Amino acid sequence: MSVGYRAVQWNRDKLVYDGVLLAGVALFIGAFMTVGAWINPPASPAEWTFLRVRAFGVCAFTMLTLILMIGPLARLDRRFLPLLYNRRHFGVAAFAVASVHAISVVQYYSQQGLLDHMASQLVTIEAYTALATFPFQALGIVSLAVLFLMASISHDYWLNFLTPRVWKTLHMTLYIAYGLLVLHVALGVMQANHNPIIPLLLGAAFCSVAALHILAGWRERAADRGNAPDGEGWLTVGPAHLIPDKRARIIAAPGGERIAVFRDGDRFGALTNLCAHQHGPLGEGRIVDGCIVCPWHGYQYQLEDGCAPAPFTERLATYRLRLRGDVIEVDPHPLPPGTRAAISISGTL
Amino acid sequence: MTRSHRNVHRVLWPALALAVALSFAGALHFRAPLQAAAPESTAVLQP
Repeated sequence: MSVGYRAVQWNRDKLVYDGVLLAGVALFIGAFMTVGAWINPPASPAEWTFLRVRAFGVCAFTMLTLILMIGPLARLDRRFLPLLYNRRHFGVAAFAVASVHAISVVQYYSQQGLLDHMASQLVTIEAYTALATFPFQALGIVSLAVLFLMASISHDYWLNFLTPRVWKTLHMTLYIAYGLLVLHVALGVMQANHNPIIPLLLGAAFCSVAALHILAGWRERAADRGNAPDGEGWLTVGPAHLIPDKRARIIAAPGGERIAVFRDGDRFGALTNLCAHQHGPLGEGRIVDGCIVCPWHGYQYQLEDGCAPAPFTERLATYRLRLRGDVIEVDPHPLPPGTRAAISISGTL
Repeated sequence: MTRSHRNVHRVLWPALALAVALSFAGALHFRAPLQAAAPESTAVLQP
């Protein structure tokens, strides 16, 4: 987190993440080109370009597949959270690799003297009416445009400018772009090359991504049903001693956003479950050095009032709590961000 | 994610999976036989 905008802030974790990422990309493309040239040695500059088209295309598709797996994997198993930390750099790298693929395609068509032919295919409306003649390049162009948009607005400046809600909505178009990319391959290389490994790998990649997203969404559904409020409109959180120390219990009112009720010793505080940064699941974080830490990118908030510690300025909505017997209850109506609402129940735990 | 994002996500993925699966099956089913699919000019056009 920061109080001002800088182009990119580096720390050891980011450097390691990016180092592994770049090494992986270089290794993948290097291995693909080497093995491809060894199996079928290119005999002309155009054939070398063609090999580069394939290498960068397969690499970009693999990267996007992995990127789209990280989110649901992190929801299903906390051990994948470190992959989420710098996922934006992964996305920007995928756009860079996809761009090289696109540039190589244009170069290849140019070397073959077929650039005009490709352009005319793209603007022939009749070609879009049948699968057999569908210009698969168009699907790649749309996907690349979405990747460009995502890479352009990936910086926290745009996240803050657009608001996390709009930013996240825009990023959901990446799911559509991935679907188009699968069809780009299915209507492109899969038509010309009947090697069964292509549909098998393509199908396996898409099925894995789709299954993970559907499974993660299904698991979240139960938590969204929410608890029915009592006659006074308060929600039952549960016995105070059952909320683990330095952790939270997440509850939801029917139709409302989730609320994270944290415990720090004998102090209890309720905050919105949405981190101010990227709407990460704050209630899945823990209290470290007196501050609630978001599990996604480490944004910090005070239990007492939902404010980020100085000099940071983020503030979250808080909720009123009360104790009935040994049971903690929360008023599901949010208080203005930064309102002190934590309670102490010393002697009752 | 907000509740509305989760709701969209829950609807979007099954719909996307179905649409891609149908299109993928169509692409497999309607692809030209190997001899016709790989003449010199066609192969060149599909990197």
